[in-house]
Amino acid sequence: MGSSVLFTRPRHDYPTRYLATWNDEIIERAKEKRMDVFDLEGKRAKRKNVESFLQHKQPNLVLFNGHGGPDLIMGHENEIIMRVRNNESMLAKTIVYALACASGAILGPACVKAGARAYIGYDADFTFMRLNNFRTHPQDDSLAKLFSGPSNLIGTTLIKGHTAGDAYKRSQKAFRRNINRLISSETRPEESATLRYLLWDMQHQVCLGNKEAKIVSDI
Amino acid sequence: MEDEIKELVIARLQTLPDDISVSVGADGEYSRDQIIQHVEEGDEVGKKMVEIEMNFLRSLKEGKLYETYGE
Repeated sequence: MGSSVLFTRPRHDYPTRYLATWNDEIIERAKEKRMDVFDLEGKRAKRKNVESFLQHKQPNLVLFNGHGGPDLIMGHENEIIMRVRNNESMLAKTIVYALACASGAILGPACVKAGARAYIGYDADFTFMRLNNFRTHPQDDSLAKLFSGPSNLIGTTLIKGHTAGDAYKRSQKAFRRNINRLISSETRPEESATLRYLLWDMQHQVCLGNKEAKIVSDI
Repeated sequence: MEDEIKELVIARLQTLPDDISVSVGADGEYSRDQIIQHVEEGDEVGKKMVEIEMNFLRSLKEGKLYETYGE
């Protein structure tokens, strides 16, 4: 059986539209690797769909995108799609990356306890800054790219067959590279303003569970 | 002390450009002026923004901002 990846990509407000767009790159990489891609985009990012795909398709990798809280992740129109003591056991045997606020604090450890191989996420709010003029074409927003670059490295590194620990390290390094570049070179005021948020995200990104876990078989 | 911190944070936030939005938490996103208003009111969003600003200043003071990865 080949590897497969499940995405949730709600698009009901500007932040979720940004996160959804950032994931286009990861979906492309997954398709290049001939992985089965299950993309719950927009209105399809509903709890019943997530549970159905987890149950019937058993993806190796799950990439959640959307709003969240310490014990939950939300989908379309902020419907709760994953919650502690509710349905986290459905993520058993998967590697998870949650680009959602704070779910690494309580939901992440609960998922690992319930059998998830690894859980990468954030144990506090994930924050990012965007330029208002680019709200309808987030793919061109240079400010948001400072955040999407490090975040996307989690998904693309895992898809290449590297471990969860490697994915985390590469993402951390990318955050650090962006921070160092902003400190050491002449940048526009709006770029410098992102420093406080990049540092916050880097410091609150967590990798839980088995850091040696990877989605591609060694055989 | 709390008022001094609030003043410091607001002074820093006033340097944010006015053509940006900041996404924070499940509540959505905020313009510079909205962030400042939340800090002035001391609500949950305001407290988060104070925490982020103070974390940045503490990291600056402790040299964490300049660390290379792995140090």
